[in-house]
Amino acid sequence: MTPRPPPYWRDGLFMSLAVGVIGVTFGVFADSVGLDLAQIIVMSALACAGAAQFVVVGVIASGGTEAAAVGSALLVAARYALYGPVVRRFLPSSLPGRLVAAQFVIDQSTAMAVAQTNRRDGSGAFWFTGITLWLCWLAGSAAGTALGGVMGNAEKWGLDAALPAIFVALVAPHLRSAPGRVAALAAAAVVVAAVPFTASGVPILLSVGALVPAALVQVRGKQQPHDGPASSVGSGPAP
Amino acid sequence: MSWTVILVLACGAYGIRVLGVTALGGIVERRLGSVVSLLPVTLFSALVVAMTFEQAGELVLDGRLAGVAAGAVAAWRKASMVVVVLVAMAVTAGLRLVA
Repeated sequence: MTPRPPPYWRDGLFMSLAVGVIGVTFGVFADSVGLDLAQIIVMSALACAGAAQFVVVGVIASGGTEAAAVGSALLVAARYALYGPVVRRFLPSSLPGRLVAAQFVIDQSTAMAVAQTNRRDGSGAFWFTGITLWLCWLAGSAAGTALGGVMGNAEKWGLDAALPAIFVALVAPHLRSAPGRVAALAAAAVVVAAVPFTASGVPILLSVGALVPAALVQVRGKQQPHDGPASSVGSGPAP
Repeated sequence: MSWTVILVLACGAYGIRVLGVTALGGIVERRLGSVVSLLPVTLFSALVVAMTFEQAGELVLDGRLAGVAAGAVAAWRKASMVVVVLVAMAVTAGLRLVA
């Protein structure tokens, strides 16, 4: 048997390295706010929630209470509960197995799992991406604490565009189907409408409402076989 | 920052994840059926918009937008993720260098 590199290793590794660099900026940020190395390492290892960690440190840095900081961060992390049903079929069926897998349920491991064409690769992609990214995030945050101000302003390097760009690449394959396009557009609209009026993290949760129009399109596509996922036209009857 | 904050965040985040892969996940899976497959694109699209436009609870237009838009064009042209991210960073950084 010729060993074949799994189809997910390149994107999984690249995302992990990119997230590791963002972890460095988290370490620098958390260090500047007064967290010590042990606190940063424990937070990154146990919570492993990029955006939520920036939120918790940011709220405290801007003078918020600790309760407000944890509350907002958990709102940002709440979406992880929604990845559970998506990745369940790739996870071990035993409870202990699931309890271990739960720690690695993150945006990128979910995305890489669902992007695979079979269950075995999906499961491999989940574990590979989840564990590699966890290690890189942890190493990055620890390194950032040590680096302190050496790196300078991360925005100068366009690093704040890296994470949304990763998600652009993760969204792209889903736009091939009409329900996927409707879900993406509706979710974007919900976030634009909600950001000015709600706390950080809430717009992401509200975006789940985008499933309603997307589900309607999905049902309609199934009822009309000619306008199925293979069709590139999103609306109107197929010629 | 107190250790309490860190431990509550850690336990909370883990609890949220466990909920998803166990009881709650099962309920959502049964209720939504095939719609579950649309959850990732929904949440990722929401994250793209939030990460591109949000700053301290407001919508702002800054260098991120140009970079992410350039990355989106690259993705549309079937570029690999590495290229998409590097294009986005380069455009954003270049814009800030000029500005």
